[in-house]
Amino acid sequence: MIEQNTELQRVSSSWHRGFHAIYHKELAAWFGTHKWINQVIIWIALALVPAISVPTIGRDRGVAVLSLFLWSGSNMMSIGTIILTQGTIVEEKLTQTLLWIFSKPLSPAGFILGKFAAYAVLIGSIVIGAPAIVVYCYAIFARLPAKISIFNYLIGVLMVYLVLLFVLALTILLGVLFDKIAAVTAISLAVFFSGAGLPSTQIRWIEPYTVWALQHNSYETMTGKFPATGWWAMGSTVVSIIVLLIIAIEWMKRSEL
Amino acid sequence: MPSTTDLIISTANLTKAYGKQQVVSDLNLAVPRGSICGFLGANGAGKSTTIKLLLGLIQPTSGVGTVFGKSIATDSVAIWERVGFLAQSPSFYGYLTARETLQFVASFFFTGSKTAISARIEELIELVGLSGKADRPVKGFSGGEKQRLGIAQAAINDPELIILDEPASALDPLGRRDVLKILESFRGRSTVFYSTHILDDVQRVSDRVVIIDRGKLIAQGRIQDLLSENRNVFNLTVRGDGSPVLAKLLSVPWVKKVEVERDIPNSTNHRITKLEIHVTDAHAAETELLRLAISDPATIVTQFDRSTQNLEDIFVNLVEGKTKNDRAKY
Repeated sequence: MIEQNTELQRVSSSWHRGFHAIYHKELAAWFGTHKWINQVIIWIALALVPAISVPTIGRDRGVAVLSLFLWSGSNMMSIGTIILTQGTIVEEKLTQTLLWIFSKPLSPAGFILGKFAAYAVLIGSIVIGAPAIVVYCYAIFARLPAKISIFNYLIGVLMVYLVLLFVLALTILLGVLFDKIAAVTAISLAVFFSGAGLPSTQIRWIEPYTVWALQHNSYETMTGKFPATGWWAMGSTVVSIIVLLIIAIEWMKRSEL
Repeated sequence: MPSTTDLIISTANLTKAYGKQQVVSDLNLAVPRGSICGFLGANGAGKSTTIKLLLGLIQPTSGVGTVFGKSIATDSVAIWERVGFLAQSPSFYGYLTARETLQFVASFFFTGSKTAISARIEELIELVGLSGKADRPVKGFSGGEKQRLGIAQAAINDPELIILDEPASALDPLGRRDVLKILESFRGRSTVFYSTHILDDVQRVSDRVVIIDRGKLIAQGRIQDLLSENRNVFNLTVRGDGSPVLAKLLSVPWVKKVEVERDIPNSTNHRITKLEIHVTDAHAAETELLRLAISDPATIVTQFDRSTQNLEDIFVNLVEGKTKNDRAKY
């Protein structure tokens, strides 16, 4: 009997109970198999091929390579994030796996945050991390002016990473709300692209303070022109991510399996 | 009837409705601690919904329920802590091995020494007979192997109560036998509450049964008690056409009806008649019936016994009886 086995300690109850179990399981799904190698190759290729095709005319080809990665690449990475994470909750609903794991002492917060943290690691390392390093190395090779500091580039990459985390949190929330992958994908894409269209609307003044500003902010930061509203955009993105996750957790608490 | 404190599962007028349709209706369950309780019902009777309610995975529309005395509506995490559950069609993560699946489940309950956790996992792998397959990915497992893994994961926390939803229904006879054996091995350690529509399984391993039909409780109690109820049928076999004894029987006030099967050849090539006698007073029948039959010198009784019912007869009688009553109401 377990009670007689003094070495087995019960996990204490907490608001995020089950976080580690979900986090490690999600990471195992990628890094415990060969799936991550395919993903690394795909994402490096997707980042490098446009970089290589940047014309060699001009002295700042390295800057163009980095700009292309941060600006256009962030769209591609956001779509990729939606595709990678669209089924993370819906598939578990459909296969009844949620029914199984929620019969264990797992809190909705532990479940949502475990998923978010694991995918944040996956996206940070594979979708943006590895390509960012490779593209930077290629930019040096393609001649990068001394005025482009690696620190500014890293801040730019961090801004794009925040965009991806926002997309991830949104996809997780939609996964909790809906039972169809198509709905999750369509709404995530619609929100992402409709936000990108903000500058052409009546409320364009709000755009510099939102997540959607981070795409061009990242490019500007990399070139050494950190925008005045940059911190606001980053701060509001972090707050948005937290709000999306809180809504997902609260909805999960009320969901019937 | 067990006292309330002996009950591990207890519900009062538990009801779950989706829109206007009541899937579970005024259910009053009483499952005593330490029992192996079969939860019987036809497909769509509301068994899985009841199980989800007990686990707090869905909220009741009305009524209350407790598991270990804790409310199923508000104390689900405390209940999950002490319960092991296997869903009807368990869907595990295919990329994890059986051992990794058990490690994953164990991490919801235990922390500390990895050696101790591994020892517990090894013990369960042994118990369910997956020793040679523990390090294979679950996606390659057969239905029976998945079910065994399902039972192992349900038992990882040494639960006081194991709830299994149709654990053997999709298995071949050998797989079913193995699963039932494993269930029996929990006797004395945990209470087992499992749903099924296979009556033979319940009679084989359970000591209690709960029968529901269309969301309503129609019977619950010890199997022995259920089997000994309604034993008001006696069988009498006589040589010849049995007319004299039939006439005598029909004149007795406590004989309700007699079903007759005539002209059956026996091993010595005599014609025999079988009489199934339904009585209202079993005690009187037990003492008087045979005496009555042999009091006629022309009658040769070749066999006399009291009819025994199995669970299937009881289930069919109860469900059909309820259906007739329900129809009569309209």
